[in-house]
Amino acid sequence: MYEVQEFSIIILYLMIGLILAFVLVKISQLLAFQTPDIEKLSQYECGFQHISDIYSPLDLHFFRVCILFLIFDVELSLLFPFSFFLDVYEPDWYVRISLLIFTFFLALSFYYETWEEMLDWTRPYKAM
Amino acid sequence: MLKNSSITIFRYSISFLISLIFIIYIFFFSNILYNLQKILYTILTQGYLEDVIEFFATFLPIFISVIYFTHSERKVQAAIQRRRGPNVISFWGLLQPFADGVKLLFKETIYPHQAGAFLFFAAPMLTFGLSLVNWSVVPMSFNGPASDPEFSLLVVYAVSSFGVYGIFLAGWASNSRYSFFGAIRAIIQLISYEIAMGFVYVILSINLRTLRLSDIVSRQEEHWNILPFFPLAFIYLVTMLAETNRAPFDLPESEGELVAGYNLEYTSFVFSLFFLGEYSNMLLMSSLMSILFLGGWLPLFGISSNFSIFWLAFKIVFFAYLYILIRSVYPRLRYDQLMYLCWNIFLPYLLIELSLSLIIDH
Repeated sequence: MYEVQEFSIIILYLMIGLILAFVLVKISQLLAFQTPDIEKLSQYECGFQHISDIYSPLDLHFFRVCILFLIFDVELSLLFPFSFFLDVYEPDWYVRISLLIFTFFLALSFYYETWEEMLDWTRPYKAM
Repeated sequence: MLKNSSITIFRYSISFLISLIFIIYIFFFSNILYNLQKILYTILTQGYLEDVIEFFATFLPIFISVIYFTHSERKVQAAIQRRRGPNVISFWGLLQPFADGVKLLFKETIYPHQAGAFLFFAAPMLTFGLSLVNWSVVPMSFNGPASDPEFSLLVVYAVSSFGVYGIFLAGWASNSRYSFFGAIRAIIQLISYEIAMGFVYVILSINLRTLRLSDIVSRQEEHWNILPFFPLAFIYLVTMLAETNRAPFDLPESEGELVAGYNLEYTSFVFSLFFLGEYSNMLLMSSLMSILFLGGWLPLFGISSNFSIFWLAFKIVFFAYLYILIRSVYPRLRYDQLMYLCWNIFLPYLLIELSLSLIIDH
């Protein structure tokens, strides 16, 4: 079931990829002529100097989608191993029924979310 | 004063002891850290020269196919717009991508003085490294991939969801307004479509009772998955366009509003790491599409050959061409349409299909 060998190969791929990227960037920095000046190193802007900070307030829809993503992602990580369970257990009706109840409540809460027009991006954010 | 200091010392010592006990507990009893130690130990002690050689044997063809994918994109778009395209360097401009790579290697590496240096350089390296990790579990032929764990679909999903961090760090660290807004758009788009992608994986794995990619291919010998799972295949096709920030979903890089999106401040080879990572992800998505739904290396017209990678390569090239065709044909969506498509159309359908696949045995 659990193979350390496979994981070590995946981690080895990640390590070699990161090292390769670092080496390539270093080679490019060594090869090219570096002539920095103050205009070149300034922030990109269309012809004028910016006056405010970049970290301006955002639309609340983005944060709402982030929170929804957390719920759904936890749910997905719960659902992934069920392919093994359905394969291993022979009378698997209780696995199926528990998953169905779980999916039903998720769908219900998601329907409530859309009914409250929380996912409607066309209109501005409405306070509860 | 004295009493206070003694109390603080007492508190510190108590918290120190508790943390010490906790750390000892973690190190001796936690399975995860034990396994991590084991993995690192096996990497460091055993000879992994063969795997390093195998890495470069997979990396070099991917690298060459990625740079020729960019070249073919320019050529096909030129043909659709009735232009010539790159045709100066060697025959039909075939050496153009190499010339571009060498040019980018010799350009000056700029990082703006307001940017955070470490994260600014870490972000493209992370994108590039993570785009190569997934190729270790994708099977290309009967022989299987470099590492074939029992849950390679989960590994693919996890690594491709890590790809958000590269974009997020790039937009945050370059400290520019355009790249910040591009990164915000890209993050929300990626995490929304990631859920649709995860549901597609889960429904497939529940129906086929496996998470291993080579098993998924071998279970399609009677008929390909695109016949029983047709709407899922269509959803995956749309999702793979949105996951790689391609047209018609290229809101993060829309040239009219944000000049280039999250990779605005990047120059020279640091930029080309982003470029290579994105195009490698596109090829990965098209190969996953052909493995999950179009039968992988299984032959097309019953013409099986010993040269088994041919059919998989044929399908991958078909989807890579579809990427270019869709980019040059379709206009860009609005952002609310993009979000409506994911949350209000795909997700309810996927929830219904999940419950249906639990009720009805496949």
